[in-house]
Amino acid sequence: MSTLGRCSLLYEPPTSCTLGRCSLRQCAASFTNSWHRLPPQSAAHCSLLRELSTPCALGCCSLCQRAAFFANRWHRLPTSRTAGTVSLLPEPLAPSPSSAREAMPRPELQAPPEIFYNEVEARKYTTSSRIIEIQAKISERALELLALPNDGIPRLLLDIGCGSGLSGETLSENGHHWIGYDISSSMLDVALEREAEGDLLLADMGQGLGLRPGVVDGAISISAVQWLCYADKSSHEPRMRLKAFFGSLYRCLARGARAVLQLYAENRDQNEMISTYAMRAGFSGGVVVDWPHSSKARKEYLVLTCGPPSAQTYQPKGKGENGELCSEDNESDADTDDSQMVDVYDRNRPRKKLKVKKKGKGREWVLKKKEQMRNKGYNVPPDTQYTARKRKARF
Amino acid sequence: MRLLTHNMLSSNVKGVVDGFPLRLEAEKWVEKEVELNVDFLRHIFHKIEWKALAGAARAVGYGELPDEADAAMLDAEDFLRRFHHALLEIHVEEGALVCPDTGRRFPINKGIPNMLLNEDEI
Repeated sequence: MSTLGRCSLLYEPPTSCTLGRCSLRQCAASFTNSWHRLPPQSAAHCSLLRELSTPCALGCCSLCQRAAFFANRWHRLPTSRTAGTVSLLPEPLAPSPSSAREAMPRPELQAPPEIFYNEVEARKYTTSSRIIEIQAKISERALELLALPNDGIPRLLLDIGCGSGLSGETLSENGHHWIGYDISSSMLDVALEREAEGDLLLADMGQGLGLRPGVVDGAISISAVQWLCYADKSSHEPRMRLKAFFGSLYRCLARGARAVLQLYAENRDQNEMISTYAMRAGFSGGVVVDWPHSSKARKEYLVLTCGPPSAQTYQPKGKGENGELCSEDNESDADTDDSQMVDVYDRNRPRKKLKVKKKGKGREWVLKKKEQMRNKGYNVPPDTQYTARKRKARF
Repeated sequence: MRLLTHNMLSSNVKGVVDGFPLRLEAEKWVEKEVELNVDFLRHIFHKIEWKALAGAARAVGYGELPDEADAAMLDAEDFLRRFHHALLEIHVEEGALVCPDTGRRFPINKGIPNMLLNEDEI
């Protein structure tokens, strides 16, 4: 089955779903649709999904995980679209920097943003101090990369995917006025609760920003733009949405203004697609990677400048590029660093000594066993002072 | 939503040639005091469409802005104060923004305009 390079589970069931509700069978025939929709009734599940009790042999399919978790009505097939053909398998063992992160399922694969960021998820952004700290750190860095002139004049900035206004808080602290875009009304409700100082808009960045040309002095976006790479509705076409987004962003920015977009792309293709459309819209700039050697602290910022490249549009350097460790982060981050130093150290490391944990069975245990065997009727030697006696060391 | 944002927003509906300014239909608004920053006002003044701002201010019952304004007026303390009040201190809480071209209504709830477009409007 693995030679076929296809998910074993999806191909095995030859019959179509007996309930007739599931589109699984159709999708197996036409792979262009990367989404599966489960029947909305949670009571009667699709018979096909029920029967698949064994996990997919290739491990490529998220079907088995989902079978247990029906509250989420979406299925996404692990498709990778390259050159028009769609294969079910992601490229086998492709070295991807994000592979370490895959243990946690990507929110982008679970549901569209307006559904994923429901009240429960939005609540995390006020209660989890870890999330708050990370968001604040990233937005501070994004503001730094924005390189606004240091003259103390407040600017009008955009926060795209502002969510609960955590990143906007950093902007407000620095005295700037901002307009926040988000598609999740639950997140915006949380932002209202937190008394975000900027103006909030419920809007979809894939539909364009809808601002007058040349009015904004800069834009930041924290972990939002990668959502554009996913088609959550039949009407969504990621390329068109990226084009609309970057086109409208370019128009609304003043000349020479910058946009700093921090994003978590799933793979290299997405990264390429996003930057291609940014360049096509007229932006110049590139990617700044902070902590490139760390799997956790690694952050990618797309730093875009409005207008053609010139001497003024220098590209800032990423943090931790020349092997410096992210010591300001917590210790666990440094432990997971997969820099070369660790590999060398690993090779020369002395073998671990085998520790003898058990001390062996004592005399009591032997006596008990002998008694048991006697009760069973075996011929067992009598208990004497020599029974289970410790041997001498020189033996 | 402050009038600053209203002044930047334009209609995004498919086929609209000139979606600015969106007509403001305010039902409820509040005023929150903000510290006056002259630098910001001078910086943003050139980006403001004055007619749209004056019109929006009238829609929320603030009629003290002149119909015309130029950069020379920025030296007057009195003008700055009015400009500041209209731009940053009035928050529209409930109401709607109406596209001047198509008449499409974007409702404002709890101070957040809903700018989401339907599939046929993209």
